[in-house]
Amino acid sequence: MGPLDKYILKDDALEATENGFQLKFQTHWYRALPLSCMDFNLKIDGKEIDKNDLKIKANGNEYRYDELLELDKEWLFVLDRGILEVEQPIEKGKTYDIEFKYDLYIPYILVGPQANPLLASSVVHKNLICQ
Amino acid sequence: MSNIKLATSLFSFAYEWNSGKYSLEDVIAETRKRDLGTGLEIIGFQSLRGFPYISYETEKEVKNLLDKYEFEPVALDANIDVGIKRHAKMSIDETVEYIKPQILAAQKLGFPILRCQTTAPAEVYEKLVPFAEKANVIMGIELHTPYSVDHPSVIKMAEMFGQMQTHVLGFIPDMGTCMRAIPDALLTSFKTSGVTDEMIAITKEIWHKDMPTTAKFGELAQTLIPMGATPPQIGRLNMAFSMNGRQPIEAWAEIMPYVVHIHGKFYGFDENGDEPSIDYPTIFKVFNEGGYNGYISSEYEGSAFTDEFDAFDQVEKQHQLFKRIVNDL
Repeated sequence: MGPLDKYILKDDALEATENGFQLKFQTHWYRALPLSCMDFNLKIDGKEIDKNDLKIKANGNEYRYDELLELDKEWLFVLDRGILEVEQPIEKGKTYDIEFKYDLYIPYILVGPQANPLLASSVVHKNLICQ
Repeated sequence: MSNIKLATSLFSFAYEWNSGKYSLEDVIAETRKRDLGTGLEIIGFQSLRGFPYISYETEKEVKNLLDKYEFEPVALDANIDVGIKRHAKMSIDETVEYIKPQILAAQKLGFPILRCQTTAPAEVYEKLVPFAEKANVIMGIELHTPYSVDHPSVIKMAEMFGQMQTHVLGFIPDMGTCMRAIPDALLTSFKTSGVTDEMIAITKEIWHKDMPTTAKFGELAQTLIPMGATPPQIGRLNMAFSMNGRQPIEAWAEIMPYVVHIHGKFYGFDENGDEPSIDYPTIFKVFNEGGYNGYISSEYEGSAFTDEFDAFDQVEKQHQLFKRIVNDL
């Protein structure tokens, strides 16, 4: 959505793990937000990952996707990276087409008749070499 | 003659900071090297890991840096995250509890003012008065567009200030509330989403009309949809209304006794070093005549829409402009 989008996925963002892969992401807002204010959509080589297959890690803690809304005390600092983990094996050294939609619901900017948090949505689409 | 003092908010350097290439010391050292004022403003959730809880190490680091680079701590910025659970808003009492540790953070780090936001109503701040008095921290409520002095919430807040008779409540006017034009740099940035020059011209025309922001959203959509504008394009152009307020500068006089700090929002400069969208000479005149003798912090908004300029260069330009204005007062 803005200039800070360029920091979301760095060149080393995609990494093979024992059971699959992980994607390391940084925020596109200027201040820390907790996981409760975030939502994700991930496509790898055009295929969308079922959200229920996503594990979310921050500060060394691990959560299921359906826990996100409750995580208002798990903060992701602006210079730290969160991790999405997926149990789907990929190959180290190979290039993958990654489309990552990173939604932030800004908790101090309320908009519309219902005064809901402003949605700041960014999509990063790039080829990443699996580390 | 003016007693208004110059400061810089580290918000200005969001693009540089998020790159991870700067330590907190790097940013503060560069701010000093460029002579960007005598005061410093920090956003807790931007600059301090673990905020609002301040470890002994963080306390020592921040105080050492302020000391080493000779900055007066001016304001620590809190965030009033009432929508943090997304599906349910915080209650009044939950909001009160959410702000308390942020007041303590300001106290611990030696900042006299905690910047607060209008996402909490007057009732919340009224309840916090005894706590803030004990901590000796002023809650400065930021008046960010659309919260101009005639906004019902602001009127209510000012009435409460009057009743409470305390030194820990005040306002922080943001100069994005009283603009004279939509910044060209902002409008140009919308072109990446396919917005045309004609759509921009219409947006500018509607912005200048005397009607509520919500009515402007409506008129913009009604005019642009037949021209083939898409919802994302209209959404971008709506930002021009939601980010840029049109309150007359002179209206700040109505709340002048409550002003504890000012946010010197800015977007860019013309070839003469003037800010075409914000009339700073008149702003300084109005606050100076009102007897204001606190700080104005530079707040560069660039990270929201452009990476074309170095933020340190931009803040330096604003300080040159401010120094020129102060000399002429």
